[in-house]
Amino acid sequence: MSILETTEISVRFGGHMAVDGVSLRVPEGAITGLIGPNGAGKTTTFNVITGLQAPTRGKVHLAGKDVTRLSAHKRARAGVGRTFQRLELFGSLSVRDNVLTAVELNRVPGEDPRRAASSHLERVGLADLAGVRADTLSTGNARLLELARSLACRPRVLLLDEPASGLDDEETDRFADILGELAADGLAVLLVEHDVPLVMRLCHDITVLNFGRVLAQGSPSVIQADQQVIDAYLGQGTDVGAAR
Amino acid sequence: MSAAAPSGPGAEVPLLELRGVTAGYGRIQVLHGVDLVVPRGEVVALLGPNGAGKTTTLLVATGQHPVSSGCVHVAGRHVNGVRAEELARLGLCTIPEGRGVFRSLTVRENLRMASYRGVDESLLVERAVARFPRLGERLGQVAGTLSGGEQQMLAMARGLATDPALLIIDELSMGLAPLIVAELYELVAGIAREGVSILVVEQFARTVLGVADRAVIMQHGQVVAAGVPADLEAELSAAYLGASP
Amino acid sequence: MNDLLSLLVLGLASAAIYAVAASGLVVTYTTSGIFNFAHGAVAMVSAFVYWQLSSPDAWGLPVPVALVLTLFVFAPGLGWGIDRLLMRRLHDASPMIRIVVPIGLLVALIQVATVIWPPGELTASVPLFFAGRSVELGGVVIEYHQLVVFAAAIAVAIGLRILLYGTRIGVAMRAVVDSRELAALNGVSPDRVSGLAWALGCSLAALAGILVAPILKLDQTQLTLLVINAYAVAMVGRLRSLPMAAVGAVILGLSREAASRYDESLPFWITKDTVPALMLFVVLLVVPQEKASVFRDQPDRSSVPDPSWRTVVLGCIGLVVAALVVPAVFEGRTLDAVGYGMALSIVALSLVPLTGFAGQISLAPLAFAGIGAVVMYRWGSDGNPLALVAVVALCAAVGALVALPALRLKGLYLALSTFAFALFCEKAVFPNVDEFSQGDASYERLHLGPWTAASDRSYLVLLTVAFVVLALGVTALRRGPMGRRLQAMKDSPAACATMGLDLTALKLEVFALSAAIAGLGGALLGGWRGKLGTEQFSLLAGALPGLPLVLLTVVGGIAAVSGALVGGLALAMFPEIAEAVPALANLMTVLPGLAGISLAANPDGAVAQTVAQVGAAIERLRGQAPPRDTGPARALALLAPAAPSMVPERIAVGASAAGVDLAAVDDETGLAWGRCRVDP
Repeated sequence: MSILETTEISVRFGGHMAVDGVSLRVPEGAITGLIGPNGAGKTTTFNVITGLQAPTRGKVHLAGKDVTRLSAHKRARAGVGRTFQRLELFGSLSVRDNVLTAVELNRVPGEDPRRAASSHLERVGLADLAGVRADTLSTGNARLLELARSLACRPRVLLLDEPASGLDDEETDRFADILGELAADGLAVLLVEHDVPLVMRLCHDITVLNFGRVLAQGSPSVIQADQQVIDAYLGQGTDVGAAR
Repeated sequence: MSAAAPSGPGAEVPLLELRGVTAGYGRIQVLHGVDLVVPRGEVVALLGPNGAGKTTTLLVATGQHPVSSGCVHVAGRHVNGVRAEELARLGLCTIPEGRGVFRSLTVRENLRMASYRGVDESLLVERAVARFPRLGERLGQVAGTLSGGEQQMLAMARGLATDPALLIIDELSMGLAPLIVAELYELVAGIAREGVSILVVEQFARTVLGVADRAVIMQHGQVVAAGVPADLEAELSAAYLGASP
Repeated sequence: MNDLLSLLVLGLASAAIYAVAASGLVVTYTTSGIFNFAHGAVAMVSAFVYWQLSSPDAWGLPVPVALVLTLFVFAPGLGWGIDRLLMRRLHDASPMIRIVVPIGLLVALIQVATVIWPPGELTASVPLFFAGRSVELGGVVIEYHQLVVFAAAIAVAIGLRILLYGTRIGVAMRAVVDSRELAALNGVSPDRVSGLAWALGCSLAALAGILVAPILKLDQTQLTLLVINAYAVAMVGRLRSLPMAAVGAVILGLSREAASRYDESLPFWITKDTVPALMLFVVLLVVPQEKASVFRDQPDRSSVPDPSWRTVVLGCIGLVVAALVVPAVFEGRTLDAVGYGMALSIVALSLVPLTGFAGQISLAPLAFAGIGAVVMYRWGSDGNPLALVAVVALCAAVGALVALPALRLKGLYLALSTFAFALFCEKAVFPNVDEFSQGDASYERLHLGPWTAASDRSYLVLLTVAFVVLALGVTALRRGPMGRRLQAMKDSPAACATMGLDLTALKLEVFALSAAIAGLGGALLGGWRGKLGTEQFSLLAGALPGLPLVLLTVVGGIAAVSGALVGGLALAMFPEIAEAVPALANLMTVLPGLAGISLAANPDGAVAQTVAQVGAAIERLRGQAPPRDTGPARALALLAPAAPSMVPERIAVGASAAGVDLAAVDDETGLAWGRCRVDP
């Protein structure tokens, strides 16, 4: 059962189709990959799903309910969480307060917000940095903090926009472990990532976008063998070299 | 990839040389000691997945971003701390990512801006049209209304009108259809044959490898492989897709 | 018919002046990204300089000489200097600083002009050009001066067109507007282009000032405010389009003229004076905001201090004790100023949650205070404390009402909309409240049952306790969920929305809260002064105007309650210090503006800076010196560009100024670098 489903969503910026008829299904308990070269429309797709960008066409369903016209904060409360490619931390707040804000906005009766925030920080390994200002974090830690913050919103679907860029190998491994645990807990994860090897390792199902359209969809081995995908990533060989 | 000696005749001095360059944004370090050399008369492709630090490397090389440590030499001159417009007036020609044209200016006015790099205004249009006849028909058109390929041509025309010794291109193929990309690279190859050194940053590795004399692959802010294109196919597939196709 | 024609002539004559002024605003904004709030003040100062040069009462130079000196020497020099010394440093500043520094300049210029040409002693006026001569056209008399105005506007339009489209430097200006980075890559120096644009913009402001001065009396605030009409006009073209600004000028010119002619048949709030504010407000709401700014949108990284409860409570106790002691030491005017300052501090406190925490810039705190004072006058002038409830409720409602249309505005646009609101209150609301308009609304001191705060001491303590209670409330807010949300909204609205935060509701709440605090300040001021009026709640005019209050609060540190205290007290005490120490009088007059300008180097405010410095010094003494991002450090970084980190080991291009002959170097290395390879 896919908890999140987009149907033929399109976004037009002026004369340019940033997203053109993209249909996705994100099932619970699995990590779904969304990859593609720069400018393929991945972040715009995320913005449509989270309600930051209204689609020109198409529908977004969450748990079978049409949420296309719902505002961003209501969608968040309905269970859509995300991180940002261009980090959107609350830089003037401490690391703890970043998570605490998220906990308070999505409170469960009877829960101690501070304790909940601490446990989220521990999960991503930032407990030692709880007191520092968020804008002093390294990229790797900042991405982990965004992950912790989005988890504190108790999402049913988690959208991660290039969470591993700027992470070193060790951090990437830790991050991959956390993602695996989350999926095992039943969370639906949609992962946009430029580190394609990582995507191949983590995802059960991958969608490749190019020029706003779906280029290929399938399991990692199918994607790796797809000539169109290879061309989209590496480019087509040109014959101009022969002239030299 | 050996550093050329600074002494001796000019022919041995690389046009662009980065040595142990580190740079970052705020507290976040992006480049961790990058070495890069563009020898005279060669086309060097700078490749790597997104976030590898390619664009920051270019920003550093063109004076648009400060160097934390290490040094940048342009034609043998130490240029750390020299501003972008000063480097440009020296003849360094850069076509930045995505948007190399002033979109609200006409084609003619775009060309005219190159005159700040020390070329007579009257020669500019003449030279550009000689190289790119298609622009000649559109001199009065506002650049923002040109097609993506034409905009890149205009950017190249403006850059080349000053006859630079070194041309730096960032993401030439960004957002363009494969056919147009091929056409543009044919132009690049033509320019290279005239003896202009070119440093080109590209996402689509294969497209540029047909043109390049050397390629440098970056990952995580460092150079991970360098050499002639034929030797790099395997490394490329690994870096981009995680498996050899 | 004649009526209509004369309306047209008069309206277009004003329109021509607005168009000239607005084109200057557009030129500076597009090339540097800084909205020149001081544009009107530059016009005013230039008009005074022109008077000084040309008037027979002053230096008596021939008119053409005076014109040339003002328009082509003084004004461009001023503009270049402003860019060089102030605006160029604001590239990386937060949106608030980019707004506040030009306001500081505005206030400073008015104050400097007041010092040089004291309003009382000087009954100067600038004569009309070709005074007394006129032509008749279709039964309508057109003065020569109006013809000069038309000619000037047309000449400016043609001149700008030729400059921007026909000359290389003009095309370079448009290129910089298009993309600063790309312009630099082509060898254009964006900073030099901005400097030129500021020189040109100030020249245009000067022209507008000289043309408008003969129509008005030569008065600092009048002249400044008149050119503020250009804000609305320029906004029609989204601060970018000169032709649209001209259209806006015609609309404003004609509607002002019509409003003054058909005054009787219009509602009271539409007059010659309110039309610009109304137009600015409406245009801000209708014209879409720029989606992607050409100028990098710098995130507001100003720090919000988080003092310990001990510090805050000790400070509060100290303050109340001081309030008990002060009346025993001071009396008369000085005591009056202290109470005034306390009330103003409450008003300034309203900015702490709104601007300090949430980053929503408001220039209208004193206008909300005025509304509070009006409500108090209506229902509580006999000292009934229940009226304070009405003050809080009504001010909160008005605050939310004003915020509602402004919700989608941010940064500069929001600041301008609050500016328009304050101007509207000053011109349409306050002057229509009976005695209030005369400055004759009387208040009795608050009483509760048998207890009356009759003595100065008891009322001062009351004011101080009110401030302390509100300050403690704001501090508690800062440390609670709401405070975190406000800061989170400032740092990243997008992240807030995707975390389930209703931004609309939060903005309305904080606007309402802020307006209520400001209203309380205004209401409590009534009992202290006994009499209040429009004059006390003006943006620019009057003894204690609103813009300097905002400035001084930002300087004091707008993210902390201490900043509000500093801002309010300083504004009230400066005139007292000037009175007490005549040698400092001029300095005290100019100080609020200078303080605002100083923010270019110290964005966190004076108090925050001092605290940071003292803290750093103490830590150093303890031998654990952590690197701290203090104001001075940032100021230094602003002044000195990052030094090359390595000693040039070969030939430094940058050293060409030091005498290295590049051509010789090229010959030596056999390179054609630096010059073009010209094909044979």
